[in-house]
Amino acid sequence: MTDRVSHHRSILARIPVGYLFGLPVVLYLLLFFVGPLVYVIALSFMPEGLTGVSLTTTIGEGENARQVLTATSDNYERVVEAGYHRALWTSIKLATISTTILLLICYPLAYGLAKTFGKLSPILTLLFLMPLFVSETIRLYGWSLFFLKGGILNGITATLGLPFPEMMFTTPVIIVGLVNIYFPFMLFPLVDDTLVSASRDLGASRWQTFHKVELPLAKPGLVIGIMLTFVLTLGSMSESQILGGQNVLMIAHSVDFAFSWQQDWPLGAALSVLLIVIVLASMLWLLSRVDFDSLFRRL
Amino acid sequence: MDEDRILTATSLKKIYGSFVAADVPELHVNKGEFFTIVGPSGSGKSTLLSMLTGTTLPSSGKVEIRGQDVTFLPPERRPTTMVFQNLALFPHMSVGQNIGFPMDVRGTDEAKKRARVMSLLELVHLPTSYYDKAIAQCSGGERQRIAIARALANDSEIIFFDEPLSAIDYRLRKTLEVELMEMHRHTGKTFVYVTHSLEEAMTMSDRLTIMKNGKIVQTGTANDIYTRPQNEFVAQFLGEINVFTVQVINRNDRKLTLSSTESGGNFTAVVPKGHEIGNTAKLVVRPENMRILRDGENCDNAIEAIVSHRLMLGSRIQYEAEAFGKRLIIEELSKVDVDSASLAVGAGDRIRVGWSSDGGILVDD
Repeated sequence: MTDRVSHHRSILARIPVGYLFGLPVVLYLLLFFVGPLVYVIALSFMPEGLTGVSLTTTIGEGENARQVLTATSDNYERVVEAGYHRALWTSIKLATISTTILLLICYPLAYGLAKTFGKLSPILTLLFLMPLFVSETIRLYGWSLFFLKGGILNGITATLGLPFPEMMFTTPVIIVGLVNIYFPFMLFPLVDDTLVSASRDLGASRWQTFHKVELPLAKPGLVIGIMLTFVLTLGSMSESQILGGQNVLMIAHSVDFAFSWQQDWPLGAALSVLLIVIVLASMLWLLSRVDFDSLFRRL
Repeated sequence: MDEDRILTATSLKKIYGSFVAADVPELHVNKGEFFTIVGPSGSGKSTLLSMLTGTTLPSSGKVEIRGQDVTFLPPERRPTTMVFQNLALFPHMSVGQNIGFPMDVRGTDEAKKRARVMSLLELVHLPTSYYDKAIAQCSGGERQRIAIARALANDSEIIFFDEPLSAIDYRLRKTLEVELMEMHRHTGKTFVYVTHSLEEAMTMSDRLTIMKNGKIVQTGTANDIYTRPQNEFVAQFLGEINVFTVQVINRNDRKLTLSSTESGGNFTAVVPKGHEIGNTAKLVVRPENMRILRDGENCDNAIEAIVSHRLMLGSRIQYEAEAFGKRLIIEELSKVDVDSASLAVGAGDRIRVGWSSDGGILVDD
C-alpha cells in the first residue's frame, strides 16, 4: 500500500509544477473553445437539414447499403449562391470604417485628456467611461430614439427650421452606433512628454516628432486597439439589428438567422467558419506588421 | 554688452501665486564656459533652468542669448540643446539613430550622418560597433554618453544638463564627471549644468552659482566659494563646519578681534574686507583648519573641549568634541608620524582646540 502511494507520488513529482497549474486552463480551453470550434467546422461540412455531425451516412437499402462519407462543401457554395457573402462584405466594410473613425478620434482625444483639458480630464474620462455601465442594447435604443422620426434629432431640426434627415435604418447610423459602443476599446497610448520635448529640441518639426517618435512608440498599443475594435465590430449584431432594421444585414445577423429561424445549422456553421477565417487572417496580417521585439525591448 | 557673455538673465522671476519659485536679478554665462547651477531641492534651480531653456515662461524679466532676447521663444527655437534628467533617449531607435536624430530631421545625407555619429561615439568613449545596438541593451553609463553625444550632434552653442548624473552610482559618476570635462574642453561649447551635488559642481565647473529659496546666494569659481563663502548656508553646503556667533569689537587693518557670544571669550580673524566694529557675524572654521593643541602650545585662537568621539576616516582622523554646549568637529591628517599627543586622545578626554587667525572665515549673520 505504502509502495503504491509513493509510486503515485513519483509520477506526479516528475510532471513540472507549471504544467500541473496549467492543467485546469488547458482542460477548460479544450472543452469550451477547441471542442465547439472543431464541432462548428465539422458541422459546416454537413449536408443541409442535419442538426448534428455524423461522419458517415448509409446509402441504399438491404444488400446494396453502404456507408459513405457525409462531408460536403455544399454549404460554402450556398453562401455565395444565396448572396450571404454580401452580408460578410457589409460587415468588413462597416468594421473597417468604424475602426478608422475610432483611430482618427482617439489620438486628439488622448492628447487633449493628457495635455489640454487639465483638471477637466478626470471628469471627461468618467463621462467617456460612463456608457460602459449601461447595457449595450439600451444605449442602442437610445440612439434609435435620437434618430427616429419624432425623436431628438427631429426636434432639433424642427426648432431650427431645417428639413429632417431620414437617417434611421441606414449605414451611417449603424456606424454611429458601432463607434459609440466600441469606443472604449480603442486606445492611443501617449508617449512620455520628455521624448517629445527632446525631439523638438533636437530640431524635429511637429510632424517629424509625430511620425518619427510618437507614432512608432504608440504603434503596439494602436495595433491592439485596432484588433479589438475590428474583431468586435466584425462580429457585432445588435447595432445593425436595432439601428439598421432589415435594411443592412451584417454577417453575425445572418449566422443568428441561419441557426434560429432557418434551422439550417450547416449553413450557419459555414458562415461562422468564414467569419473566423477572415478574423484570423486579418489579425495575423496585422501582427506581422508590428515588431513585437521592439515592444519588449523597451527601456 | 560684454562680448564674452553668451547667456544673460536680467531680473528673472517666476512666481506661482504668492510663492516666489525663483528670483534672479542678474546671471550671466560666458562663451565656452562650464557653468553650474547648484542648490538643494526646492532651491529654484530647476525653475531657473527651465526659464533659461524656455520650457517655463518667466513671470517677469529677460533672457538673452548673444544679446538677442529669447525670453518668449520655445526651446526648439533657441540655439540650445537639453540633456534631460531621464536622458529622453528614443527607445525604438538604435544608438546610431538616436545620435543621428538631429541630422536626420535636417535631411543630412546618410554617409555624412554616419561619419559624424562615428566621430561622436569616439568622443564619448563608446565603441563604433554600438551604432546598431539597441538602447535597451546599453548600461546606465553608456546611455549617459549616448544622450550627451546626441546633444552634441545638434551642434548648438549652449548645452543644458538637468542633473543627468544623479541616478548613477558614485564611481561611475566620478568617471563621467571627468569625461564631461574632457568633452567640454574638446568641443569648446558652453555647458550649463544643474545639480544638487556641490561636489559635482566644484569638480567640473569653471564657475558655479549656489541657489537657496529661489535666490542666488553666491556665484564664483569653486575656489572663490570654498575660501570665501558669503554666508553660513554656503559654508555649510560645502561640508561640516564649526560656526561661532561673534561680534566685532576691534579692528586693526584686516585683523579683527571678535567676542564670542557663546563662550564669552575673544577670537581673532583676518578678513579681506568689510565687517565694521559692532557688527555681529558668524565665524566659520572648517574641521581641517582646527587642530588639537599640545600642552602649553600657543595658538591665535584656543578653546577647551571634551572629546566625545574619535573616528578613523582613512586618510583623516575626525574628532567630535563639545565646548560650551557646542558640537565641534576637528579633522587631522592621519600620518604615520602623527604626533603622539593627538593619537593618545580619545572619548572623554579634555583637550584644547586651536586655529590660526587666517583659518577662520567671517560670514554675514
